[in-house]
Amino acid sequence: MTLEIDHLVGGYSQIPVLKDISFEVNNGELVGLIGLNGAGKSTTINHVIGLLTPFSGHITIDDISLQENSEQYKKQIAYISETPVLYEELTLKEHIDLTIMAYQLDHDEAWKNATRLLKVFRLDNKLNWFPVNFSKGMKQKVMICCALMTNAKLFIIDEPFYGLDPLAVHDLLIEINRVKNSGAAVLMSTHVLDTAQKYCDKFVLLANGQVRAKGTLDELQELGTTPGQSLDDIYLSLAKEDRDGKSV
Amino acid sequence: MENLFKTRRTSHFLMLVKYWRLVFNDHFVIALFFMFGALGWGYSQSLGKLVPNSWWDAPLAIAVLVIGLQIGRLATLFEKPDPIFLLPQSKMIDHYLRQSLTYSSILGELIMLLISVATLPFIVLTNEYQTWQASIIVIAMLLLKLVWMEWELAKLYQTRTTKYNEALIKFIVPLIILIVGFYMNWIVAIVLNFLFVVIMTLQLRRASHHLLNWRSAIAKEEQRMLGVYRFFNLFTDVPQVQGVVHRRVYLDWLVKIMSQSRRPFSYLYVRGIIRGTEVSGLIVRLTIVGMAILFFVPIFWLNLVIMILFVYLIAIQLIPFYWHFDTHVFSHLYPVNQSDKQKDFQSIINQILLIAMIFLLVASSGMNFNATNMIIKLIVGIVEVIVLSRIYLKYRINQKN
Repeated sequence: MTLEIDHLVGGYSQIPVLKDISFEVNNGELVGLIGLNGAGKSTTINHVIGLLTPFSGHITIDDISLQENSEQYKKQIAYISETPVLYEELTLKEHIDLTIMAYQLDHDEAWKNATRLLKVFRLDNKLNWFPVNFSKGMKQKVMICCALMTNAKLFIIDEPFYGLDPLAVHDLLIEINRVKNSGAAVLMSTHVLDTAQKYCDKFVLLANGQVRAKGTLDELQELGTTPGQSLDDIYLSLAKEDRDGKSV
Repeated sequence: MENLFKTRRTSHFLMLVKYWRLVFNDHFVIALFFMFGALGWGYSQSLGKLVPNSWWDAPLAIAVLVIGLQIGRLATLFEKPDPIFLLPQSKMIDHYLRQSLTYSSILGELIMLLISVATLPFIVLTNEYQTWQASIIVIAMLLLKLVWMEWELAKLYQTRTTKYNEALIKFIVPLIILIVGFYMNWIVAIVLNFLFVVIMTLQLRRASHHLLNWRSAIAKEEQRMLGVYRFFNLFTDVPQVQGVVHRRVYLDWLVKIMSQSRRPFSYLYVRGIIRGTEVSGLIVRLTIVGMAILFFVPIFWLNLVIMILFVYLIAIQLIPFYWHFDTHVFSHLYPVNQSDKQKDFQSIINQILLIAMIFLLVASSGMNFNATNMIIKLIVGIVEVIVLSRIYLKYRINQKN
């Protein structure tokens, strides 16, 4: 078991946004974190990467919590944020170097890995560019390369598809599959449901800071009224109930 | 529409007051006091040694006055949405611009007055002038500044009639008038000057029949405001100033020397400081100003105090960079110990202060080198750098946490 979230209550100020959330992401699993705007997806992710401190509950990666050993905990995570954040003062090449240093990777091997990724995302001829010169999609790709080149055990990907061209989306999914098959756990939040349905192994549906449903597509379908519903349908019917104020 | 300029002027004023208060409330007043004290003292000292009627004094005076003429710009207070929102009011804009000309002229003339009055003792002494000649110089400079401002306004219109060369109005004509004054006759100079004012005023009236060139007017105002903000940014954080990043390949050797291997924060800080224009520009400017002042202050103790002060000022400007990457999510995500961050920053600030201190020290020897004094200053400087980069930095970081 890689990521385990156990009865997490948390948020930004005193008022909890997340009310008692529990789910886990296992090795070799791609879990889709799904919910409306404001459902608590990013808040959950912020708790996992340690930007927010839980009010109560536990988050552990391989049984290590951030409080116990922050360095060891952080070493296991690689994160791709929703809006690309890069260091304005560093070139693409230096972002790679910095990642190698921060994660204490083996220089040559990491560069071999990075070069392959840069080639896939067509950035290999832009090594000396500054972030200002990149378009939004290119920045996103830089983030993807920097995250995927690490040998983290848990990849956290927040809404990765916006701003990427179709080819890059395709390549990203292949790369996610690759790290998954090599044994890493992947938690991905997204609104792009048909893609999620196709690629995710499991789903966690969030609404109002609570886990409304979780499991594989089959398990979710059992919750729905009509069998054989797509993720889209399940999500919409849950969302609709949510808006109407009913509970399941 | 009638009141638009007034409202903008008021809010602009409030903004300036807000920032000036921040500028004048700490160590800067002390620094200014010493700076002007040292400069004034040096000026009066060197005046005493002057011999009248040297070949170089008139050219020097002319150069100072013509350069001084360029200070103080036209503030239109235009904002980006103006061309869209004020489109139906195109004609009323003339009135608005007249008001802005008045406002900018008052400020510009005040600056001009200060500069010309400050140079007068030198001019009067070297040329052995009477009071009437001195007054004419001041009046001439004020008139030249008026023309300068009118030209700035005329340029904002889309007109082919203002094909006067920028250099002609801002440099060449003022130069000619001053040369006539200094080498021939001040009466002739002032008559020429009045003529210049009349021509420019007519020119401006003609130009204002044309349409306004909104794009360049707004670009110019933005540029001006950026300058203002940049100045304030020397003392406090101004949200409008976002540092620009330059690659600076020619400094890669410095980057390499300063950053330690395999330490992420060292890697980040060195590149951030050297490639960002904000901090590096500040440090370089402060060092140069400090060197210039130290060079001209021969009194040992005053020299020492100013050197200490400048090293301190540079440290003060450097320290906030410790938090520069804090808004960046990855600075928190990387599996790096936070105490490493402090250690790395400390070593960088130590190196920078040491380099700056050595530059200041070298300049402080001035024209007469004294080995004992230099050694004393070197020792004091090293102790100061160590105190600032170790104890003071730690204190500031703890204070903030």
